[in-house]
Amino acid sequence: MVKTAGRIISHVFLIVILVLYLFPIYLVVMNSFRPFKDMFESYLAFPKSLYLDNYITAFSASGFTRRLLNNFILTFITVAGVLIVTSMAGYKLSRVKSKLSRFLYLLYTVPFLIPFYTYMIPLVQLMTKLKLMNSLTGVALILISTSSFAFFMFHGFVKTIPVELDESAKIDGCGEFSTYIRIIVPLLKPIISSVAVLYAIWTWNDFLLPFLILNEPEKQTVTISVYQMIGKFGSDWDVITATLVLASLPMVILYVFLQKYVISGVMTGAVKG
Amino acid sequence: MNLLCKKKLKDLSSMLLFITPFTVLFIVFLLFPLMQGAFYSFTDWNGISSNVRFVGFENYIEAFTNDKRFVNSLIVTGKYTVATVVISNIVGLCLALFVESSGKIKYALRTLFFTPYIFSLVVVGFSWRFIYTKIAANLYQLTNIGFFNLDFLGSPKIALISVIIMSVWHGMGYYMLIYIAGIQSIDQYILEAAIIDGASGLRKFRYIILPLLMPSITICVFTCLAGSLKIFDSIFVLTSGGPGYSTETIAVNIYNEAFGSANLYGYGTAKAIVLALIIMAVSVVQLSYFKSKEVEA
Repeated sequence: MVKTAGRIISHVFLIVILVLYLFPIYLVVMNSFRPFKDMFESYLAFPKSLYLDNYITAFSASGFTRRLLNNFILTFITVAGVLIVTSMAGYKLSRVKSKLSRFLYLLYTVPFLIPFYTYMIPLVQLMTKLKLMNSLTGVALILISTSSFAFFMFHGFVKTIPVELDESAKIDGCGEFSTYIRIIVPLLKPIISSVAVLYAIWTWNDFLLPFLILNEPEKQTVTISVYQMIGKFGSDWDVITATLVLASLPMVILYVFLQKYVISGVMTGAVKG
Repeated sequence: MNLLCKKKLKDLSSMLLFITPFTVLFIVFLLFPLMQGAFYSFTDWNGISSNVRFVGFENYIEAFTNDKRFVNSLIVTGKYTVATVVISNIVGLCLALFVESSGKIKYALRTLFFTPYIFSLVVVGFSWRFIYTKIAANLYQLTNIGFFNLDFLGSPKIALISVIIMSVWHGMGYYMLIYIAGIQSIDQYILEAAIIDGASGLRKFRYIILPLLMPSITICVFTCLAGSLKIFDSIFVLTSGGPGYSTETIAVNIYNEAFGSANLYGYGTAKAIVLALIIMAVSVVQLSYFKSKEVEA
């Protein structure tokens, strides 16, 4: 009896905390469905009817669809690149025990400790020289170069795959690369999903790097659109809230369907790291 | 002997095949500009002029002796980091304990508590700007509670606290998940043995759960420390460092001075190197201290 009462109290407590915790999201979403004059009367009242004009204004703002597409392209290239290069490096460095492999392992921890702006100015210069300014691929290459978290996830996970598998594949006449493709990659599937969704979220949301590299309006990303609203819409919070929702929607959808991988990615990342 | 040499060479070449793509990108887009940045920090480079003069440690000395705004940003970053690390971790850990013991609804709870983390910091910054300026005023009208009438972003005394609340809100779910992973890895037999030995809830937490969670605490504090010292996006959007310089962290200071007013690239890079050194020093001290507290189960 006491135990169930205690459980009910703790459930109620947790749900109250949760509601308060998610209240800011609710407020932004709810106000995005109201005209500004209704908001002005009360930001807290529930919308009188489903009002979509804010979304139409936000969506038709110059280049918003183009930027949404840019975000998808950038996210896709980055995630694909991260998966390929870090899984290869993670696999090999996990298998080979030498001074070089230990050195590289330590070297790859650098991005955790070095803030991006320590080298952002020379980086912009470098990108200009390489003619990669305003290039989504250029931004993707930089993002891949800092993807140490993915490297450590793969490095840690490969340790749990028995070396005997590699060896027997070798005996069966499998070359190094086809062992990786045919034996290792299929076993990496759960971690690949986790790394992919986490990097999709991080890339989609990244701000400072795309902001510095992508100057041409038709090359920019949604996060930059959001930032630029300060000047463009002033304090038209109706359009701003709608833009915030639109910019986040793809990741919310991703999270709804793939939350299992996001959660397990964060949880295993902590243990492996 | 010859055969062994050949094998070694073959191993090396196969290793290169696998590590080259990542390593080349790492060197070209990270290490190379980083070294260049370190070099520029000893010059008076302004980003445009090809006439770069070597000035030794002048930039570094300038930053600490003559630049009150930079010293202020060090203090702001310090306050912000301590508060964010302490609050995020205590709240994250408590929440993890509650959520993990909540039976069937725990999966739904952890998913929902993690939600803020999937939003961009720019979106988060804007959302909280909306809440602090518009929603709070409305709540004050409705409830007349003095708290909601505070000038959340306009008062130099309160603005930093407003920023901290936003950061904790955004990141806490992440730490909660890592703590949940830690709790799940604790051997159930140890907990049962403790209960049989008569350990009450609080003692069980203090003497069994907490020491066994040390690895998770090490990771969470490390991640939160490095992230907080580097904080940029959300502050840039929420306050851009103001009012005055009350929320200007090191990163925002570097951005405002290198890109905002003057193009002091060499000087800005010197300050960024200082920040990198601070992060490394703090991380090394934190990791070695926390690791020494970890126990074997």
